[in-house]
Amino acid sequence: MNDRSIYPLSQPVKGAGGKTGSWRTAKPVIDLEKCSGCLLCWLFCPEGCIGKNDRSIDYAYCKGCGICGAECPKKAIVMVKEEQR
Amino acid sequence: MLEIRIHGRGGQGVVTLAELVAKTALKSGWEVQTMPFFGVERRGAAVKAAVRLDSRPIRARSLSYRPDMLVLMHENLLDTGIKDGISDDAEIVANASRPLPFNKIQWLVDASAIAIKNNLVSSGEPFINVAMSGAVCRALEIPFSHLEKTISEQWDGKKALANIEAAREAYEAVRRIEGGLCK
Amino acid sequence: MKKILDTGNAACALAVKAARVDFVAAYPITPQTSVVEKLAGYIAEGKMNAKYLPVESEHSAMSAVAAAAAAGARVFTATSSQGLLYMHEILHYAAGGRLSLVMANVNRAVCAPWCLYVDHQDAVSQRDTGWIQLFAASTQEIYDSIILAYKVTEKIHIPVIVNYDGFLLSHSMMPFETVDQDIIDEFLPPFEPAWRLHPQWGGTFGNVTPAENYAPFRHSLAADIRKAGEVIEKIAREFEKLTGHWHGGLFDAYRTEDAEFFLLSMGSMASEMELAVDILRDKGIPAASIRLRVFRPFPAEELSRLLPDGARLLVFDRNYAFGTEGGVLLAESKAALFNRKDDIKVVGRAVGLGGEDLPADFLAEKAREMMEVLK
Repeated sequence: MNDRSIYPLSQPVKGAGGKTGSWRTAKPVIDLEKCSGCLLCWLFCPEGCIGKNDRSIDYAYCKGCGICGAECPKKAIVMVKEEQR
Repeated sequence: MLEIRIHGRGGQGVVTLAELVAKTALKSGWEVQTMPFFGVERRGAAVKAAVRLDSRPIRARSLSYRPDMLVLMHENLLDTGIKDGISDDAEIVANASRPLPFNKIQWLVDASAIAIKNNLVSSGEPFINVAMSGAVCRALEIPFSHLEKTISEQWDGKKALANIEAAREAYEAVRRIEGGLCK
Repeated sequence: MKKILDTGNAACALAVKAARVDFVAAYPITPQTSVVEKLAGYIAEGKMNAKYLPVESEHSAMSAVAAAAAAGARVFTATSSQGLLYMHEILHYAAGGRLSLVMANVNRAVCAPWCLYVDHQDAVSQRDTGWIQLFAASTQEIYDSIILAYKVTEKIHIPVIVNYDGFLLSHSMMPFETVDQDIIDEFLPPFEPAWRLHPQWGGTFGNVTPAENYAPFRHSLAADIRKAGEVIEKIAREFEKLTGHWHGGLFDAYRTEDAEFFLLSMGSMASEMELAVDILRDKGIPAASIRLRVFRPFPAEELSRLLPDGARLLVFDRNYAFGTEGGVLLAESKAALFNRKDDIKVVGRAVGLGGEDLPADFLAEKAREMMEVLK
């Protein structure tokens, strides 16, 4: 089970694909005043980049897909264009 | 043999840039080969592609490890291992407005501005690959007319015209600097 | 003749179109996809007068082209890796049924673990299906081999796989010269099958047989595929006369003069191998490259003829023959040279699995390691 060259097993590991935050052209910015805490963003984020407890966004890995902003019923998440790409 | 390695991000048209350079070099009498980076195609992820030029038919069938010319689509790629295997003599062609912190001979062009000026924009992002082909062909001393022919074969009518314009502007605007000094 | 710069997959599709194929059935798989995309495009745009049958699997793709071939159509399919493995059952049907059929296999490693990149395990796993297998090393050779394969399969009624390496050949661009349509039409006249499945004939093929009927079919397939090497070489010469294109006979040999060490490989690796030979020669080592172009039938006698007394054969396999000491080419080469009376020696390594890159300096280093073993 521990020999990595015998059994082709894998488990998800944070950051296995590198710092994917560099892929972004726009980043989601959350306004916690408007946020109702419904956690749809957390549920929909394909990269698991939104914290369930504090709704913080992990910009080191967020690819900027914008799904969180599109799903947010309160429009509390807006996509802001990244500086210089 | 002359090896060119292009570094960019998924969606920037790195493979097409390699193709344009190779097709134009072929018209100029070189034997050519493109050797794209073979990975999962993901928008925004760092990608690379290589072009080989030679006076004899190319027998190499491996990836590019020691390029003679490095093409950089943006400065934000500097920390993605682009310098692997490049010697100090390798020439750099970059979409950048200021000198890069490595290597002596640099060809700099603001390809983003040229793309925007020629309306080569999609979803708010400039398409810089064709402009970069102009800069690369200039650095390779390939006549612009050969690149113009390649582009007009690649796209039809209006689309070709805007791309030819962008390539021409970059071909003319690219600056060759040595050791951080304009020449 | 027109020189163009495009990918190996594009060269393959252009050759299929030029061969005036009547019927294509295929299921897309990386890295083969763009071959069948292009063919579907040609057919949809009316640039190719053929029927394209989209199917739900490779098993169905091979079943469909085999059936169409039995009905007398000139057919084509393409696949890779797991797709080829999934066809395996019908590959036996097609060869046993003595159907004229051409397939491109864009070589890719097999699962598990999952891998998209080149090795030859997919192809060598079909070794005993009775198909002829060619291996190309350049875009030009892919184009020419497809056309040649139709001539071969329609002459001797044994299906042909044209193998070429995934990505390194399928996706990289190299210049190649297309052949004018009138020359291809002269070389490859319309397909006249020996028989056709047809409702008016009212017969069937591949019916149930007892041993006394079954065995002779297997013996004749075995005998005929052994003779195929000669046919391939003759047809390649005929093609050369018309086009000037020549890639070697069953082997493509490089710098064999006064050579002591012969580096045997196939596919794209064998092109890079010539650069490795140059590196070794520069160091005073009498090395040569021999590129195997025809894997099935295995040209055992020709291999032996290429190797002088006391030669050292270094075999580079991009596959494993599990349960033997190495890859398939190693086992086959040893078998081919078993009856030699001189002190010829053979050693092998499996390299380049799952797309491991094989630059010339790496190959030269591997060769030196093998030379040490032989000391």
